[in-house]
Amino acid sequence: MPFLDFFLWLSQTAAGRWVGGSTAAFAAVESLHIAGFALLGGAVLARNLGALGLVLRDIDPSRVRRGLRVLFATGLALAIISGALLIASSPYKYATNALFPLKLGLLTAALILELGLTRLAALGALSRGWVRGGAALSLLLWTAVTTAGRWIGLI
Amino acid sequence: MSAPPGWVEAVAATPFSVAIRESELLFPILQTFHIFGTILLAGTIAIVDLRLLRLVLTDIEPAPLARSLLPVTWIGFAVMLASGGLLLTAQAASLYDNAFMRVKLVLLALAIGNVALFHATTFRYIGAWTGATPVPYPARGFAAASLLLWTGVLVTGRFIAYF
Repeated sequence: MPFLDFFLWLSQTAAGRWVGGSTAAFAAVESLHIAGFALLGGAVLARNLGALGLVLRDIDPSRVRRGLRVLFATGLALAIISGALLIASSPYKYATNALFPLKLGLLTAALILELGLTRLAALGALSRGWVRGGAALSLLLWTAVTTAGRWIGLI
Repeated sequence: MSAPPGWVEAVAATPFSVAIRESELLFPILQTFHIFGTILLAGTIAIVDLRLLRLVLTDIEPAPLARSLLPVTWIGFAVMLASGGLLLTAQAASLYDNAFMRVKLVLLALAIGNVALFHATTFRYIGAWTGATPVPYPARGFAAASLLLWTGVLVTGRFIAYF
């Protein structure tokens, strides 16, 4: 349980005690987690479906990538802050949850890919094939992150 | 607490509802689809609304953005409605009295009414909101109302499970 010490510390903070001590607080933070993830997901969908030519066909994909940076970062920040609070509510549950390390690994991979694609697209350094392959892989990774996230709460 | 009417009890008692309710796999799979529907729907709606409020993609015209993302929104809506309908059918008796379920359905109706009214009125001129022509205030109002109402649907939806 490599995360347990950190999770226990989180649970002892004032915010951790608040979210762990009330069902309504937990549900509110979960709502924030989903809302943040929906904003992030919207940015991921528009960027990568756009790069695949499935939406926003007439618009330069690198403009879509750039124009959704703030939305992506805002959604990510909301999801991470609320995610840390959810962990703080039940540190043992998340430290021992088999899907938690999987989700964290998938999330790290998805983030590196998404940030890399955005950086390289801004430089114009990617051929069409790499843009499309990267977009497809990104969608796949975020789908896996979402599925793992939902099932953390179920197992 | 009021007892559900007979037809609600009957819906909840069908073998179909019982099968979903008692399945260790089907129920969470439906919940997973419900989340994906929510992300497809809310994510694309948020982009269009935030564009009309000039908060994202300001160098892209609203018309092609809204037109092109609409099919994704519809797919999300269909997935959300199908999975949500099945989840509700399976739990009809226990959710009948749930205050958050009721508020969510009202907010959902308002959110749908908001977009229907928007598309029937000022949205029809979206093609003109380019360059120096700002997005008119009524359209910004519809966009802000849409963000608030869908957020309300999402939050009340999450609270259903706990109260």
